[in-house]
Order: sequence, then C-alpha cells, then structure tokens
Amino acid sequence: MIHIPFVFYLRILPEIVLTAFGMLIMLVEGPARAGNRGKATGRLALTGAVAGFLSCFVQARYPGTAFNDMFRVDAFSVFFHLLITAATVAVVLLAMDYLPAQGMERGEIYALLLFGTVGMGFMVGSVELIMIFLSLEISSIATYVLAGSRRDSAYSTEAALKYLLLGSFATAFFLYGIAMTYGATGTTHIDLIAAAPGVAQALHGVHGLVLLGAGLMFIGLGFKVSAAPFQIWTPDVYEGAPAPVTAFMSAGPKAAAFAIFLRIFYGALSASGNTWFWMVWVAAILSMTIGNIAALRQQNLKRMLAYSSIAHAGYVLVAFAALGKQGIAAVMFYLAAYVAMNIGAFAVIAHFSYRDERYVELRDYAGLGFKFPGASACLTLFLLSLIGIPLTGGFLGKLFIFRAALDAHLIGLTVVAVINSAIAAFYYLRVMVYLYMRTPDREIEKPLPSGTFAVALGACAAAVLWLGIFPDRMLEFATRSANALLFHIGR
Amino acid sequence: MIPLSYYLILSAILFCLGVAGFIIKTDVITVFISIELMLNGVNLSFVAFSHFLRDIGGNIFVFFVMVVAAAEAAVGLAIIIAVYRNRTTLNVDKMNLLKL
Repeated sequence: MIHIPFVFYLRILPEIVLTAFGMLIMLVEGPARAGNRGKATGRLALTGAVAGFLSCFVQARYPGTAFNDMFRVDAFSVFFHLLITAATVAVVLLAMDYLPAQGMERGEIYALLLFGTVGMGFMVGSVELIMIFLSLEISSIATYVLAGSRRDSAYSTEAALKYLLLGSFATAFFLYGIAMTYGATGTTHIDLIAAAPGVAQALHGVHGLVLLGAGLMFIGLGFKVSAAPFQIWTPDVYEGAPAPVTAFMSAGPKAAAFAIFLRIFYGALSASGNTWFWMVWVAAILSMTIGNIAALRQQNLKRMLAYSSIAHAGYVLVAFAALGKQGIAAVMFYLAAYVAMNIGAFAVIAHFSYRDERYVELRDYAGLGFKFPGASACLTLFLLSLIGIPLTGGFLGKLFIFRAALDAHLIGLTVVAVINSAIAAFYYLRVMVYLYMRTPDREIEKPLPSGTFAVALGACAAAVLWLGIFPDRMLEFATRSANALLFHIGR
Repeated sequence: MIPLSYYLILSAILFCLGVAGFIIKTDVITVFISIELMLNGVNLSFVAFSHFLRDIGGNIFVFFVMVVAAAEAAVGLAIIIAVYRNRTTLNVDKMNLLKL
C-alpha cells in the first residue's frame, strides 16, 4: 500500500477543484437543459473557476514537490497557476454573455474550459516530461473540441479540424524530441536531464542527440505558442473558432506553453543554451515580422488579432533569447499583460459580433465609439496597450523585454523589435480611427447589455492599468519566479 | 544482437513517412493515420532506448502515448464527422473557407 501524504493533494488543489466542478457541470447539464435553465451551468462554471483561482493561494502555502517528484509547487508554478485561472475566470464570464446571445448555451463548453485549465495547471507545475506531455494533451484536446463548438457552422468545424491536425502533428514532433532527449540522458525528469553529462557536452557538439531533441521540442512548442515559421494554423483557427474560445486559446494555452518552454529550455537544457539560442533568435525575428506585416492587410478583426498574437509571441521570444533571469522575468511580466489585454480585446469583439458572428469586420466598428462609449473606451485601452503606449501593461512589458535584450547585448534583435512595434501601431490605430472618426455604411444590431460582459471587461481594463501604473509587485513576483526556476539547476 | 542504431533508423523512417503522408495526402482520414504513424515511429524509439538503457521509463512513456493517441483519435473522428455534416467532403484541399 503506497502512502500518499495529504499535503500532496493540497499542492494540486486548483486542479482537483477545477476537475470536480467540470464533472459536476457535465452531471447537471442534462437536467438543467431539460428544465430550461441553461444559466445554471454558467454560474456553476463561474463558481468553479473562481474557486480554482482562490485555491491557488492555498497551493502557494505548501511549496514543494508532489507525487514522486513529478509536480512542483514553487513561485514559478504559482505565478502561472494564478495567471491561467484568472484568464479562465474572465473567459467564463465572457462565455456567459456570448453563449446565450448566440443561442449556443451548452454546458459542455463550460466543462471543457475548466478541463482545459486543469491541463494547463498541470503543464506549468510538472517537472517530468511524461507529465508535461500528458497535461499538454489534456489542454490541447479540450481546446480542439472548443474550437469546433459551433457544430452547425462550416467555419468553426473547419477551424477545429485544422487545429486538431496541425496540433497533433506538432505533438508528434514534441514527442520525438522527448524521445531523443530520453535516449541521450536516460531520464525524463527535468532536473536529472539538466544534471546529465550529455547535455553539457552538447555545448561542444559532442552529443548530437540532445541537440536533435532540443530542435524537435522547439518545433513542437513553436506550434503551440504560434511562433513563426510554425504559425500557419493560427489565423485560420482564431478566425473560425467562436470568439470567447479564441480569447481562451490566445491566453491560457499560450501562457502555459511558454511556461513549459521555459521549464524545458531553461530548466533541462540550459547547459546547451548557446546552441539553441539561435533557433530562438530566428523564430523571434520571423514571428514579429510575419505577424505584423500580415496583420496590416486584415479586414477581419479576429484575423488581425491572430496575426498580432503571432507578433506578440515574437516579442516574448526576444526576451527568451536574452538567456538570463531578467529575460525570464520579462517573459512572465509580458505574458501577464498580454493575457489581460488580449482577453479584453476579444471580449469586446465577442460582445459586438451578434448572432453567428455577423459583425467582425473592421467596417462594422465604424462610429461605434459614440454609440457604445464604455466598451469602445475599453477596446481603445486594450489596443493602446497592445501598441505599447505608456501607462498600460503592454508598454512596461515591452520595456522590460527590450531592457533584458539590451543587457544581453542583443542589439540587432532589439532594433528589429522596436521597428516592428512601430509597424504594429498602424493597424491597431486603424481600429481606433474606425471607432471614432468614420461614419457607418451599415447599421449593426445592438448587442444585449450584459452584466458579466461588463465585469470581464472592467477586470481586464483594471489589470492592464494596474500593470502599467503599479508594476512593482508583479515584477517582483516574476523575478522571484525566475529565481525559483533557475534554483534547481544551481545557477 | 541487433544494434540500437537499426531501431533508431527504422523509427526515423516511420516518422518521416508519417510527415510525408501528412503533407502529400489530401484525404483527412489518411492524414490522420499519417499522424498515428509518426507517433508509432516515436514509440519505437522509446522502446529501443528503454531496452538499451535498461530503464523502464521509456516503456511507460509508450503506454501514455498510446492512451493519448486513442483520445486524440476519438476527438478527431468526432470533429471529422462534424466537418462532413457541414461540408459533405473530406478532401483537405477543399477546406478553404478560411483562407490559409
């Protein structure tokens, strides 16, 4: 009989809570729909997501490892747990506004949102490649289904199919990378890989297997964070999936994928850093440039934000290439700001999209600034933050990234990033021009006013401003997390 | 005894065949099977490494890969049916409502 200490369960409390609520939603879904009380599942999901968020604080009180050293609670994992569960709370609020308005209020969507969050939670806490792989799949499979949750729409199902095929393709590459690393080091534990002699030798080009593994894992994770040249699925899937699902995909799974990116490359393969550095460098430049240039000519707002999310993955990779504690902290701060502003922007798009997402083109936003001053002001704030205007989280995030890159003497990369930020300003500003300076050529139907939408929007706006004006606490937390990540490999 | 490199080369060939099938084939089901071929190529690597390293970890990993592949197949076939209901075609080249 294996004895499992109770504290292990406390360390994975957010996952337990979210799973329990997910299953509860599946159970009450049938009776709730039969009794014509579809709202019940939404409220249950909101309770679950908030409980999951709060239980991260319980988890944070018990740092250490759990279940045979497979799962670790440290500042790094708690940071990402809080970020991901907060994103889920916002997305559930958004879904409670969007789903009834679209006539697709179904409980399984909420349940899948929670299950996906469970996968992401395990992703950011796992220090064992088997667990990382499994949790990556838990989150991915939930997201594939969510992308196709508008079952009667050819667009949504096509998006789901493309996401599934390219996602599984990427998973196979990731897995092959794990196999190669396992073969080179004889272990799948992050700390043991870091300590294995083969990894350090890769520095001198002795051990090709480790480098092959690093390259293949980079391809797999590059797909998941939609970094160029592996970004090809992103615009299609973001455009076809229902807007709250797009918000979810662009926030949680992306942040979690970056977390395991950090865990694997800084945790396990840090000794061969000089060799994988160039992969990150090339991917960063390609992502920023391709994302921003393609976004310039988009008329569909969801598609535009999809290209913008590719570009933002590029900015994060710039900090990633800085190879140091400051770079890791910049990555984490930027992800926090990015999650808030991106969910906020998609929240506005979801709210105005109307039935069957009829109004998602740029021209539909003409003149909305005066008809819906509140929502438009918030959208403007999120766009300004995405550009990187001072007083917003996006500005400070970019600042920390550039500073980390400059401190690491990545002058060329920083110059490209700054030029790209200037290009990006054009297409974000164009949305604001439409909002406030154009007269509409067709009237859009008014969305129903909604309390949950207002709360989600207010929370995202508050987070963007808080990060932009009082960044100290978040930056301190991010730096502490970076220390925790590097502590175990003794750097 | 068959050397480790033979297994690894076979595994790489299987993986590359899967990649080629994924890129060339136009039928969704065939594309899906190509992904399974890639996963099985990886599984062979894991088993071979596990045997030569005398470490059970690789074998355990293979079980998890099979479980995940099954879950992916279940979800994948459900999505394929949903696509077929909307489009009455399973040709990847016709999946162009969203411009790639």
